[in-house]
Order: sequence, then C-alpha cells, then structure tokens
Amino acid sequence: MRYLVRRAQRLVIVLLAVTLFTFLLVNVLPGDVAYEIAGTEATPETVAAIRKSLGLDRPVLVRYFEWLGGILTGDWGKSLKSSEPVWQAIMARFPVSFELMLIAQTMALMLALPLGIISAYRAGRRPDKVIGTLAFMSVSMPAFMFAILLIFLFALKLEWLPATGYEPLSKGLWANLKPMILPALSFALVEWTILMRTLRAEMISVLQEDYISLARAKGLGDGRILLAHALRPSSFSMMTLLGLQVGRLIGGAIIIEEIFGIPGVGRLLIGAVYGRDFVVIQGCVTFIAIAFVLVNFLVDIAYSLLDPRVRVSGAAHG
Amino acid sequence: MNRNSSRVRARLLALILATVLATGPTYLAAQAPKKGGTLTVALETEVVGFDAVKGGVLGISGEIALRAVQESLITANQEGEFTPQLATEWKASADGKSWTFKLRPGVKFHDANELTAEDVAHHYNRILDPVNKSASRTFITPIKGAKAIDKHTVEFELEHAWLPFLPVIASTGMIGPIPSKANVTADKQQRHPVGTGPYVFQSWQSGDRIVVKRNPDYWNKDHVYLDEVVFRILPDTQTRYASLLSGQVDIIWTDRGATIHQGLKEKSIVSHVAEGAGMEFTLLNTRNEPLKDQRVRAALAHAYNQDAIINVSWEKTRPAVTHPFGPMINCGEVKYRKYDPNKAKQLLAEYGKPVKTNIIVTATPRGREAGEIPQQMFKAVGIELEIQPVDQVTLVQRVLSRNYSMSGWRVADGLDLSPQIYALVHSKSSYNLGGYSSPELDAMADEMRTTNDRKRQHELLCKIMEVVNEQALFLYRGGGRHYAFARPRVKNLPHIWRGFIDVTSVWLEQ
Repeated sequence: MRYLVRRAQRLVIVLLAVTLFTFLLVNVLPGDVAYEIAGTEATPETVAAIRKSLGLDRPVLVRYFEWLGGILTGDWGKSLKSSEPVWQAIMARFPVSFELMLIAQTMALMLALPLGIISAYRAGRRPDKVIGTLAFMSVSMPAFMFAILLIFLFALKLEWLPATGYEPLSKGLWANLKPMILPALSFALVEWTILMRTLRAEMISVLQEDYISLARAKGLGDGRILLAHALRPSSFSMMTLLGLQVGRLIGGAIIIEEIFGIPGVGRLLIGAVYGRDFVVIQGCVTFIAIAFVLVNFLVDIAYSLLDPRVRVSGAAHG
Repeated sequence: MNRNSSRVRARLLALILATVLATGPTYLAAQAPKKGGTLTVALETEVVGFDAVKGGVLGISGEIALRAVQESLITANQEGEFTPQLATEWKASADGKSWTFKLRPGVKFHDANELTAEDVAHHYNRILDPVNKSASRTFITPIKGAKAIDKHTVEFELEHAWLPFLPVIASTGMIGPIPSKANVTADKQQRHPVGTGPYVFQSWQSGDRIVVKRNPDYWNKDHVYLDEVVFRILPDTQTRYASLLSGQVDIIWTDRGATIHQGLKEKSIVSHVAEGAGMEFTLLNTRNEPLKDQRVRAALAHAYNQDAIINVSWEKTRPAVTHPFGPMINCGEVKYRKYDPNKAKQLLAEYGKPVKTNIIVTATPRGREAGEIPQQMFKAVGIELEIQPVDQVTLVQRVLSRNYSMSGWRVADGLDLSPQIYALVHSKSSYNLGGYSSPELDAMADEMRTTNDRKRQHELLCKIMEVVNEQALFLYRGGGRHYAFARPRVKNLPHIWRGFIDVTSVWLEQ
C-alpha cells in the first residue's frame, strides 16, 4: 500500500513537471492557434480578435493554472481549433494507438522470443550468426522505411493488404485487423531486434548458472531447460524494455500513423503541435505521461510475478 | 467493278451498323448513372470546423466536405456563369447597390426546418457583425447587410456596386453555403453541420474521417447517386497516392510534382487536370532597407528565374505567370521583369551599396527550395540572401505582423480575384502586407473595386499588375493548375476548378 502511495506521489510530481514544461515550451514558440484559425488571408485585426476570444492574450501562468484546475475537476477542455472536447478526442484515438501497440509488440515478441532463445542456445555458432546478421539489418532500418517497403510490396504489388486506413472492431475482426498488419509489422521489424538481443545476452549468462548445470546433470532435455528454467530469469531486462516501448508506442507512433493514415494519439498530438492548439497538446501529454507511468508500474508488478525475490525484497523494504 | 464496290460498301455499312447495334446499348447502359455505393475521397488537411464564426477559414478540404451538406444560393462554373441552387432567380437594382434573391420554395434542412429568407439573412448578418469577429468578414465588407423581405425573398444591401458580389454568394467556403439557423443558434454547427444539401452529415472523427449519407428528402434527389461519401483525412501525399492505387480511396488531389508525374503516367487511374488562376509568389516587404529601394527590388526580380523554380520545385506542373488571373483575364506581359542577370547587376551598381536580405520559408522540402534556389540566383549577381526556416504558423505570424523581409505567400484561386488584389495593394488595407502604396495605385484599386463594368474591372486589374511588376513587389513562383486523380469507377466528376472537387453528382460503376 505504501508502495502504491509512493508511486502515486511520484506520478503527481511527474505530471506537474511535464505539463508545466510543455505549457511553457508551447508558449515560447512563435505564432499561435489564432493564426491557424484565421488563415493566411486574415488581417492582423482578425487574428487579434480571435486571440482575445480564445483568451490567449492572458498571462501564460494564469492559463496554465486554469487548465490545471479544469483537469482536477475532470474537465480536459476543448480544442481551440475545432471545439472538440479533448478527453473525447483522446478517447476516440487511444483504442487505435493501443491496438497498434498491442499487435506490434505481439509480433515483436513472436519474433524475439524464439530467435533470442535459439541465438542464446547456439551462441557463437551459425544460427546465432545468421540471426545476429538479420537483427543487425533489421535494426539498421527505421520503421518508416519498412513501412514504405511493406506498402510497396503487400499493398501495391501483391494487393494483399490495404495501404492505409483503420476500421473499428464493429466492422468485423478481419476488417479491423487487415489495415493494422502492415503498420504493426513496420514497428515489430525494428523492435524485435532489441528485445531479442537483450533476451539472448541474459539467457547466455543464465545458461551458465549452477542450477542449469544441475538440471542438465539430472538429464532434463534442452527444450525443458530453456523454456521452463532459463526463460523466466532471462526475461527481466526484456520486460523493462517492453514497458518502455509500450509507453512510447501509447504516446503514438507519429510517423507510422501518418504514413498509414491511422487516426491515433500520435496524429492528434502532431496536428495540435503544428496548429499550436495548446489545450490538445496538454491533454495528450498528460494522458501519455499517465499511461507511461502506469505501464511501468505494471512492469514492476510483473517483476514480482516473475521473480519471487523481488516480492521478498519489496516486503522487507516496504 | 461498280457492282463489286457497291457490294463491298454495303457489307461495310452492314458491319458498321451491326457493330453500332451490338455495342450501342452496352455503351449507353455503361453511361447511364447507377445508384448506390460508397465514394471515398481523400482530403489533404483536417477541417477546423463548419461554423462561419468559430471555424475560421474553411480551406479546400473543408469546402469539399461542406459542399455535400450545405448549398449556396447560386452556383458558378469556371466560365463565370451563374446557375440557380437555393435561389431560383435574382436581380440587382439599377445602381448595383441592392440585390434581391427569390428562394426555392419547399426546401428542407436536414433538421426538418424549412429554408426561409430568415436563414439566409441570419447567416450573412452573423458573418458581417463586427462583434462576432468572423475571419470571413474581411472578404465581404462591401455588403452592409441582408434582410428577409418575405418568407422566400431576401435582399442584400451593398455599400457600392461590387462585381465580386455574385462570385461571393456562389462561393463554397464559409460564406456561400447556408446553414440551418436553428442549428447555428443551438451552437452545433461547428462540429455537426446542417444544411439543405444532397448528403446529410453523419459523423466526424477528427484527424480520420467525415461521413455523410444520401439525403432522401433532397429537393433534386434524382441527381444524387451515392449512398454514402467518406472524406478521409490523409495529409501525406504519398499516403494518399498509395491509397488510391490500392483502392482504399477513390479520389485524391495533389500539388506535388513527383506524385503528379506518377499519376499522369499511371494507366489504372484517371487524371483530371484544370488550368486555374491564383499564384504562388514571394512577397517583398518594402517598408525597410534595402527592399525599400525600387532598384534593389527590380534587381531581385531580374536576378530571379521563375522558369527554374517551376522546373525544379514544381517539376513543371505549373505555368510561369506574369499576373495571377490565369486564363480568365488576358493581361499579357504587364511589364513583367524577365530574367536578366546583367540588368540586375546594373541596377545594383546604381544602388551602390552591398545588398543583404533574408527570406522566411517553411521548414519543408518545398519551403527550402523556395529559399535555396533564389539564394543561388541572387548570389550570382552579388546579393546575399539569408534563409530563415520556420513552421507555417510562425511564417504567417511574422508576415501578418510585418516582421519579415521576404516570404512565400499566395493569391488563392477564385472566380474573382479583385478583392484579394485590392487588399494586397491599397494603402488603407490592413492586408497590404508588402507595404507599398501610391496615390495612383489607390485610385486604380478604388475604381476597380466599385465599377459595375466587368470589362473596365479587368482593364484596371491588368493596370494594377503593371504597377506591381514595375515596382517589383512580387516574385512569381508559378500560377494555378490543379490535378486530381480518380479510380476509373468514379463517373460524372465535374471539371475541377480552384482545386475544388464537387463530388455531389458523382456515381460509381459497380
């Protein structure tokens, strides 16, 4: 319980710092949303009138605390540009980004787990070298490059999968999954390498532990040793990385969402940054910060499930 | 011999007749409009909103979507001819200061309210009311107000005769299309537009799509064919193009040279190209040295090679221009300063001081080109140009606050460009961004604004551009030419003009 309270305290401090910093940063940028709304043909008088009507002529800190007061009472404000309620805008996009993250991480794990285990088991031998080379090639390419190549191959040439779009689950499972495969794969093809290399490194070290030698001496098969005895203790660093990656992807994969026309949090945020829609920027940043902290909190809990020593240590200190 | 040739001719005729009979009905059937289906249109930018006061400037993306939902009193084609839409007839007073419109009776808004003169008057008066600070007001200030004479008659009162009046009434931006007064008063128009149009607004997921469905009670429902239109927001050009090729969208438009060339060569899609008016140009701020000096500006104009910009930056997808009026007005060369580096050097020698200035550009590939190409051209004659990359919002802010020396800008395509030209050159206009003024230019602009004679208006517009070119106030970066690409199943897509695509009469070959 005390642990949870400490975490919650940290969350509040992180959120205050992040939102204030973002608010100030957006305000030192030249230009504001009034210019975006007024358009290029507007007169300076029209822009000034729009600024006033939006309250942008008031001091930065006054606006920040007003926004903060709103958040504390559950009011995330409305977009300065479109008047769309910010909470509604985020909630409309979050399931999309979350689904993309979930599929991408599942794909990455499906690649990283077996290849990481094989690589560790055959460390320094041909399978390890082949997997290492593949991983090196894969990590050398940015996700957007994979995106372009995948669109070219699977959408334009083979016409198997759509190049862009998003369909909600209500339109059917396949209709929903089909446009998600290429963007998720674009991510997975980069993310799996980091997970695989981490798992490999840790598993090589675990495989040299005494209890593994004991298991071998008892005549246990390689498969059982790897999966039942070596995999769990080798997964801690990979779990940490997974948590960080999930947090990052919840924040929106801006370029991938842009390339595949996916209406996620990333596109909402980047659109708001370009348009200086600070209410939307603040809402997105706050939401991402909360999500990031919560995901890493869940990863901490997952540690204790994976390793009883963490639980004991936590109890001893807590 | 004669008999043989008669036989051959008879056989040929029979063959032709048989071919015509065999293929004719198929051909005719193929051209007969078919009802049903969903059309997906890719939009380039997100829409701010549909309220004429809260939504700011609608932009082409918003116009395309709003056109499906709301209608104007009249419509215009690219030849400048006006046809009835919500108004069946209209006439001006002898002095051109009053216009009366008779509304089509029995037209219903999507919220079931009947269209009346009150709706029209309320819409225009709301934009014109200075208290509301509508961004659209700038463009229609010669209109004093609108009033309902009876249920189906609305009258507009103008400050003076104003030729752009009908083009403004026929426009498809925030000003022309009439919303339901009840919906506007209920403060719902911004996110949920209600009009009289062929399609009823269904949903809008910001950053993703706007969906409209066929209006079963539309006053001209026999000419509406689609069940649904989905407007998908896809800002990236390559994404739009890939979506078109792989069938996720039916229509896209673009101004990117590389995509245009790909599209024109691609056999699986249909290209639509339309010449237009308007232009991209570099605005010179004449308030400060060295651009205050006409010789320096003229030197810049002579050192500047518009053809090179069009070849490199637009990949020859736009025409070089000497004025922004496109094919609508034939102004000729209007003293356009041609590329002549020697003349530029001579003018600089007359000026006698080193010239160093700067340009603000957007931090995009095209923005960089707009700075780097002229930088090299000016360097060749001894002018030093510093490039300052900024984002779009900052660029607009700096230009509107006059904190710039040179900047990219544009004259938007339209049926009548005279309000934009007036605003750019008149000394009393707050939109005179370059800061140049002269009594001669003011007199011409005033007469151009108030004349009731279209020919005289065109003459004056050309004369104004002569002064603009002589004074070297703008450096032209290409005129208007619009490109749209569609899948072959899209039929009856009207001629695109101003970059605007009207999809309301489209039908799909299933």
